[in-house]
Amino acid sequence: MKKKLVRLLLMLLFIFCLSIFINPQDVISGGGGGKEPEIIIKISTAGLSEFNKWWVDLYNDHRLLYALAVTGTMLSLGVIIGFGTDLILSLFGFKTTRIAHHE
Amino acid sequence: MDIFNIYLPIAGIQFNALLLVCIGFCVGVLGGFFGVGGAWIVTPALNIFGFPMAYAIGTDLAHIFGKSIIATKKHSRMGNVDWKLGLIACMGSVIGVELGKQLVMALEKVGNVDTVVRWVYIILLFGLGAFMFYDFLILQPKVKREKEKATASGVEPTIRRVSLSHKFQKLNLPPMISLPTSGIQSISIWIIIGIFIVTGFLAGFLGVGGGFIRMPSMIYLIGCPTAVAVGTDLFEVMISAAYGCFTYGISGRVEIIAALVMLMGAAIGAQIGVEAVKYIRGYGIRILFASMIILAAISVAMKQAETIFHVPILGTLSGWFVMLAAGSVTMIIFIRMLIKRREEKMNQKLFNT
Repeated sequence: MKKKLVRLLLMLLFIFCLSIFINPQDVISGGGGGKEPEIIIKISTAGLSEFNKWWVDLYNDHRLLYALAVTGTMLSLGVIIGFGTDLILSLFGFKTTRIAHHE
Repeated sequence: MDIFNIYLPIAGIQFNALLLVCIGFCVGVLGGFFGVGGAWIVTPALNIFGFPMAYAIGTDLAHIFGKSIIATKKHSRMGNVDWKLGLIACMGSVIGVELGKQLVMALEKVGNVDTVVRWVYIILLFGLGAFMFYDFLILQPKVKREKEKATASGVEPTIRRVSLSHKFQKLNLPPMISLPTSGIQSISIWIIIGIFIVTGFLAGFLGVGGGFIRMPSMIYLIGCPTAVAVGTDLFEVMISAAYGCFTYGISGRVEIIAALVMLMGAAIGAQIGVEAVKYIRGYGIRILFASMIILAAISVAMKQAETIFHVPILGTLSGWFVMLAAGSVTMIIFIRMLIKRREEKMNQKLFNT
C-alpha cells in the first residue's frame, strides 16, 4: 500500500515537471496561453467571517499560496474521503474486492 | 430554499448549497461509472446558475480533482487501474493537450475559435455515439453469429478479428510492451503514445479533460476491457484536473468553498458509480455512455443553433438539457444497480438453500 502511494506521488511529480517543461508560461501565468496581461482581482474583506476573511486575504496577497492551498485541500480531502469511506464500508461488511475482466 | 444559501467570497455570489451537492452527486455517479471528469456537465451548470465562466471552469476542475482521487482509489482496489498504461498515456496526453491549445490560440487570432470548436464537438460526439451504437447493434451480434455458426458446425470457432485494437496490437514497432492488467500481451509503446497524443490534442482543442474521448479510445483502439478503461481514465482525469486546479488557482478563478461542497455530493456519488460497475458491466456501460454522449451532442448543437439563429433562450435550454440528461442517466445507473444487486442476492439465497 505504502509502495503504491509513493509510486503515485512520484508519478504526479513527474507529470507536473513534464507539463512545466512543455509550457512554463502556463504554470506561472495561470493557463490560457494568451499573451495579454491577466486581470488581477482583489476582493474586499469587509463584513466577512473569520474563516472567509482568511481565505480572501490569502487570495488577495499570496496567489501562489492560495493555489497550493486549494490543490492541497482537494488532494487531502480526496484521500481522506477515499480511505475513510472504505474504512466505514468495511466496518459494515461491504468490502471492495478485485473483479475479473471478461468481455 | 433560501436557508441553504451560502456566501461564496471568491466568486462574490450567494449560491444554494443543496444545488451544489446535487450537481456534485450526479457528476460523481457518472464519473465513477464512466471514468469521465464531467466538466462538460458541471461547467455549464455552474454558469447557468450564476457563476462567471472562468470561475465555473476553475471550481469544476478543483472538485473533479478531489472526486477523481476517491474514484481512482476505489477502482484501483477493484483492479481496474492499469498503472503502466496510465503512466505512458500521461506522456502522450501532455504533448497532445499542448498541441491542441496551440491550435486554439491560432484560431483565436483568426477570430472564429468558438464556432470551429463547437462544430468539432458536435461531429465528434455524434460520431463517437453512433459508432458505439453501431458496434453494439451490428458488429457484436455479427461476431456472435459467426461464433455460433462455427460451434454448430463442429469447427473450432475462429472469429474474424474485426476490431481496430487487434490491428494496432499486431503492428510491430519496437519497443513492444505487455499490459497484463488490460490482458494485452504485446503492443508498441509508440502506438499508445500516438493514440494519447491524438486524444490529448482533441482534449486540449476542445478545452475539456477528455475522458469521453480517452475512455472509448482505450476500449476500441488499445483493446482494454471496459472496466479497466474506466479506472485508467480516472487516473488520467486526476492528473489533468490537478494541473488545472493549480493553474486556475494561480489565476484566482477557483471558488474553494463551492468546490468543497460539490465534493461532498461527488464523494457519495463516486462510491455509487464505482460500485455500479460491479453490477452493470461491459456492454451495459458502453451503451449508457453512448447515450450520454449523444445527449451531450444534442446540447452542444442547441448552443450552436443559438449563435446561428440568434435565439438566446437556446443557450440556456442547452445547459438545462445536459443537466437533465445527466440526472436521468444517473437515475438509470442507480436503479439498474439496485435491481441487479437484488437479483444477485436472491440468486445467492437460492444457491444457499
